[in-house]
Amino acid sequence: MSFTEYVEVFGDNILYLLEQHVILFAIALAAAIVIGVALGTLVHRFKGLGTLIVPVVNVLQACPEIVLLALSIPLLGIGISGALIPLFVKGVLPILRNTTSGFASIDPRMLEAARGMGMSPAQILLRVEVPAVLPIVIAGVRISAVMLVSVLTLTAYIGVDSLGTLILQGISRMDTTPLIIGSGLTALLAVTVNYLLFGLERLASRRVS
Amino acid sequence: MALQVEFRDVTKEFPGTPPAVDRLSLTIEAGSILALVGPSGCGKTTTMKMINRLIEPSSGEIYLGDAPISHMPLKELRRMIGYVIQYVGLFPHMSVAENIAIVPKLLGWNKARIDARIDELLALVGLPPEHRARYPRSLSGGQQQRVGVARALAADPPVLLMDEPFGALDPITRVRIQDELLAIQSKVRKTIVIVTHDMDEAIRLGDKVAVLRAGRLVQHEPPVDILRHPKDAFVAELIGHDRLVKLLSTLPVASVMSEDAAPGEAPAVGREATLETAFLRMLDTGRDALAVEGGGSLHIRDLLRASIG
Repeated sequence: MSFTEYVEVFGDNILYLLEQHVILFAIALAAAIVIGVALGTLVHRFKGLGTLIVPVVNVLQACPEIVLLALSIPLLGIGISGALIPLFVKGVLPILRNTTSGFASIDPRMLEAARGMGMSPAQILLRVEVPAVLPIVIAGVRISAVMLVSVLTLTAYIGVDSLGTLILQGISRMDTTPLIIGSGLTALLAVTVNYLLFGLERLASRRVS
Repeated sequence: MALQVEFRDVTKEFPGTPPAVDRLSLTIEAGSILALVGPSGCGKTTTMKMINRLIEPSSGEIYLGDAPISHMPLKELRRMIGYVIQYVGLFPHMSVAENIAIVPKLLGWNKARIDARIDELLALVGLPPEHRARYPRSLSGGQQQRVGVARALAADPPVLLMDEPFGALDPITRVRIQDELLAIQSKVRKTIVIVTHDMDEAIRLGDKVAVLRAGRLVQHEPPVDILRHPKDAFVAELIGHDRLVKLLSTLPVASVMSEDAAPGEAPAVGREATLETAFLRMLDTGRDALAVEGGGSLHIRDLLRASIG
């Protein structure tokens, strides 16, 4: 089947898989941001917590995605939750790490100046700490996002629809057309996400650098 | 408006070390500059930070005007006290105008009033109005420090604390900004406490200089008196080997000149010139007397008299 014929026949299916991929990506990234920023802030505030959390996250980070997915099948079953949970876990670390190092990069004398001017802890957090940390956190989000877009293709192995389904089809049928469409769209998505977040990062750090 | 700041028997102890500040009693008159000077670890920064309660004293009390500061609400106290630190204290993500507007915004001023105040302050510290929209990173060290001073003065606080404010500046800029600070002070008349480890800076800026050592007040006098009579070897060492030069550079010709007419052809010197300038003129010309512009004379004997007070 030629390329145009394939698109004509399976066009709707391709769009459906792309949509599924984007939805899964959005859910996984959102969860990774919430957990990553929250844990990163906790680790910064309570240093002891870091020695507890960071090694766990590091080990999870070192595990190949396919291993995490395989391990999640007996625990979470085949399906969306089995696919999403191990992936968002992988997305947490870059965000967590950048959140803590962002807080650590704030000059303590700057915070003292803020206190000396009579700002309350909430005002210091919102007006001084968050703007200083934001570009660094976004950089972490960008790393996670790009990784998640490509790693999501693996969910096809445990029966979750995504662009990976096309790639898998291509491999099993020795058909290059779905293979190229699946991987091409994944790559395009990754590049787009990277540029969008890079732009956001530049916007947030415009003033600082 | 300015308020007197008074330390009454104030001690600050941190666990496991000798007291950082030891039974300090000290009065800083309203509208005067006190320079707190001493080597690192002498307690000068701790002393200053107790005034805006970034550090709480272990015992004793500090009074702002008649009010003991331990009874004042913390926010209210801090908004009455401008705070300048080395230029890291500017917020890098805020423009010059936003940095200056912090305390007025906390106090709930309206936008028009804040804008007018920013213009007024930029003019006061000698920055062009176009600098409002710039960010700290794009300014030189001296300009950043001017913004720091403007920010501290924003809500017209009666007291100004300055923690090594000019430490990060090159020597030439430092002297220029010190002069500017004195010019600003002659207009605003705040009670200013400056912490420095640099005796030259303390002498140049302070109406009085307080020398601290290991948490104790060693000497608290106007700069001229400290230069004339350092209390002990420690103070003398802080002043350094050029004590005489520092003393002569502190005093104007007018302070010791006589009304006697100068001998004919004596070189001239201005009334407001420093004795250091006058002495150099004597050395350069080989004469022991100078004619003071506008009448009177300065003899080398007058210099000797000035040096012992």
